[in-house]
Amino acid sequence: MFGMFKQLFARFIRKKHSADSIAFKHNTIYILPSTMGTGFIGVSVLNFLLGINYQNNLLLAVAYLMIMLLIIALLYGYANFNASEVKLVAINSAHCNTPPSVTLAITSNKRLLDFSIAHDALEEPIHIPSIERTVLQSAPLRLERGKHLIGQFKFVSHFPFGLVSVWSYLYLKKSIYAYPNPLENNESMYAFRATENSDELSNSTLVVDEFKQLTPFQSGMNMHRVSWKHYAKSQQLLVKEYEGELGAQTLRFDYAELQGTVEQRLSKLCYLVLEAEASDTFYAFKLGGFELSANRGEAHKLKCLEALCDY
Amino acid sequence: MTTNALFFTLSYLTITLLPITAFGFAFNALMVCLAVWHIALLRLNKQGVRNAILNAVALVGMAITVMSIGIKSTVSVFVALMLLACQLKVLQAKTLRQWRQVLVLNFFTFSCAFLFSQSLYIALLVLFMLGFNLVLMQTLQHVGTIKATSQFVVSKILLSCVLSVLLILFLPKLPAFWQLPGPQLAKTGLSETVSPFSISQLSQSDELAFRAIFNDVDIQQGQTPLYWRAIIHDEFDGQQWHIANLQKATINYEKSGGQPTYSIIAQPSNTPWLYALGFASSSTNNVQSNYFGTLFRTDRLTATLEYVVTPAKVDASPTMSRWQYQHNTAIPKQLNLRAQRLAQQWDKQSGTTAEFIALMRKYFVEQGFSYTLTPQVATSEHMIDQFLFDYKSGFCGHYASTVAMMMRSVGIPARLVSGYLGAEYNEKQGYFSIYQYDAHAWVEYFVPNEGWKRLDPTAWVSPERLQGSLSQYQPLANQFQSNLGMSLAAFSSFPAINWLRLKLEELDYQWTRWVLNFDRQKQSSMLEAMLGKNNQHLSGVIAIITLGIIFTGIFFYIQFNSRIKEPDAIKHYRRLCSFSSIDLEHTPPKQSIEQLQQQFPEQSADLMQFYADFCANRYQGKTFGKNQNIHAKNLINSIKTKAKRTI
Repeated sequence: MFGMFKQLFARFIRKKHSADSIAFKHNTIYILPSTMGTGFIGVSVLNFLLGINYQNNLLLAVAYLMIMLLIIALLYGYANFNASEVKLVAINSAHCNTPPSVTLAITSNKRLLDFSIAHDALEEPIHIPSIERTVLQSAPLRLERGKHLIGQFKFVSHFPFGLVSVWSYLYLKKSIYAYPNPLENNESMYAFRATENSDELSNSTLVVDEFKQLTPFQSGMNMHRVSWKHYAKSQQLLVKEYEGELGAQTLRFDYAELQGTVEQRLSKLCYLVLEAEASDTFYAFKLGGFELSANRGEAHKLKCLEALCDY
Repeated sequence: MTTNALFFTLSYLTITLLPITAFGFAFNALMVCLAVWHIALLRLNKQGVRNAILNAVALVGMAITVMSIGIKSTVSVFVALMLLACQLKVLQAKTLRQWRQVLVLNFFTFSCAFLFSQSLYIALLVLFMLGFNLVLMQTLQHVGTIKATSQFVVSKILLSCVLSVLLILFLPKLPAFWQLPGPQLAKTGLSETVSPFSISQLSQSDELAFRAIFNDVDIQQGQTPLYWRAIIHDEFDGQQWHIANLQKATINYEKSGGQPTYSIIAQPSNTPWLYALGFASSSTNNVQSNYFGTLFRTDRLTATLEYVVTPAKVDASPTMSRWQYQHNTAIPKQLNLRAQRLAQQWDKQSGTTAEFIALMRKYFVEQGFSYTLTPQVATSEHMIDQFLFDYKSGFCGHYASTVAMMMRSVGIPARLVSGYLGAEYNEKQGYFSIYQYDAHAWVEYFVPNEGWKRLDPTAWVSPERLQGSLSQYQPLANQFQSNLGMSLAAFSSFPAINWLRLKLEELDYQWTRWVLNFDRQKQSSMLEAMLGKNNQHLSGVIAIITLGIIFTGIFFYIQFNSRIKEPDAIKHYRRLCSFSSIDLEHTPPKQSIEQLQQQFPEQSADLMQFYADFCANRYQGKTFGKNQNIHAKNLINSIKTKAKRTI
């Protein structure tokens, strides 16, 4: 019975709060006495019973005082939460250990006190004692390798006195990737040369060091290839390019060729991709039925990493 | 956490050591030990004591509690155990959750002090402790400093206090669901047996016994001595006078016409006996009158009680049955033979009871008897003989016992009455205060066809005692004050202190009258006066509606107040933007002003000036002062009129 109600409520929240941002106002704020507040009511009832049975006005006064305090706490709790906004700023997919995170902007045109962010994948709720104007908060999520729906964030405040829970949700229907952690492979990445057209490759290896041309340096290029001679002469940063580089450096990473458990193999694959990307090498990628032809660059890397997550 | 822990321990200790909670020495010592232990732990920066140790301490503590207080006084044991449990919980607490439990539980523990006393000072103390408790609850959330939090809490507490007073006044009061045992109070006051001969020093207390409020001004201070009757003693065993068997026999009296009623607010005395002048009955619930015309309650008085006294009609020609006569003339014949012989000698010399009394009086006056609060203790078993012929000094108990015994020995029915004599009159508020040191004992004797009459033999030796209160009785001032010990009344010779004492007393009177004794009867008469006879049931509805309105007000107030106020420059800028024909919300200020200049060419120079002021304020950190404000307002007004005209 309770479980069913909970499910219904979850569905209701999903429907109502799925967006990229949420403004806290009367129809999106939920407010109830907290656990402590419930205890507080219990104590008030005890005081009331004692007050009645001893016809003791002061005990009655304490009982009423407590209830009044609770109501005032509810009002202040609501006012504290009201007219604030939480917006999704960025989804930062990353390796499980990095970890992946979601960046939220919390905006309030007054002081928002005792604000905490909870999510199933958060190790413990993030507590922000006081927010004025805008706070950017990154929420690092602890996720298993894979593609995840970000899902539901819960924002809670127990201000004032911790007697009330004022809360709201933000349901993000967006995905976040938790890439496998890179695991260093015993063999160097150059052991994974592309095997198809092996003849051509063997030929091209002969011309590996044939100089082709100089191109202007762009950030991200390998510093080892800067022609320091030219720099010394003309203060110009130029990069040497070699003939047959493409063929020579083309690697091919295949899941099937790696050793270990599934996760280990994925981690090794991840390491290889990162390594290859760092050394500006062209690489092809094969993971089960998923195959990418040789290429390089950020987009190619992301495709590979996402494929690793989906496996 | 240290502040929390320290505050909890100190407040539990305060409640334990308050004089109102008589938990006994052993329990007090236990709590002091626990507090010292806790403070030592805090100094060593250790938190949380092992559960095994705590359990052992709890068991020992429970045993000490029960032994120290006794199982009879359930309420005291309950509160003491509560305090002990809370203290141990504080010793144990490590996690946030445990601290929260303690904080919430304190709202019960602290208010338990009201079971023992409802005085103004206790109320203020408890309110302070609850307030600080709230501050701690708030600081657990790490928002703001203690000072800021305290300000927040004080305003909330004051508001809640006002609202709860409203609720107390207007919410219908419920009757007690079930009878709970009251706390056992250790109280000085009237005792059920009178044995003056074994007392060497009459210890006096300046504690209030009760207050009396007369609606008419006839009874004023000093006109007639006020004898407040409480207990009748009609059995003498040679050593002490015992309480009458019929003291608790209910009899309903007819109301005597013409005499006005008055009300009395009795302080908790832990006895059922109440006070009244002369023969009395009462219309208050649970207050009954007995065969002797004194009032009593069905249960012990553990909280202040206000009751109405109606003077009762006394039987016009009373007679006495044979067994009553025998009962009221019985004395141990073999004791005090000299006194009996003297009485018989006077009996022979006199024809009427009045003459007999006159002879007695003559003897006391001529023999130079004196009044003292520090009499000699009787050493012989013929105690009255010793007093009458050797010591010749004593207090009211001595004189009353002696006279009653002598009257009985010659066949005049006589009995002892204990109660209070005199009162301190508060002119401003118009009420009498009767203190414990006003306690008195006197004699009543029976005359056939006339009934019981009062005789106060103490008056023969110190007639001044009859007027006013003992505190105003000069000849005994030194003795009286040395017997009081340290208290404000002991210093009443200093005018400032006496003034302070009277002020505090007035405050306490108002507190008792309006706060403690606001019961169902008072509530319904108040509501009747306010709402008329038929609308009383509406009071609850009115209270709820009023609360609703107040809370709505508070709600909007908070909303309004929590908004951050924009600087004047921005406010004016926004106002100006609102006059523009196009939406300027997202354009930078310079462009907005240019747009406005195009729209209102006449104000172009003023707009430029405003822009300069605006920039100086916003970007160079200069003040947007009075002159700039006035200029901006003028500009806005001129544009406003212009804008209206164009429409």
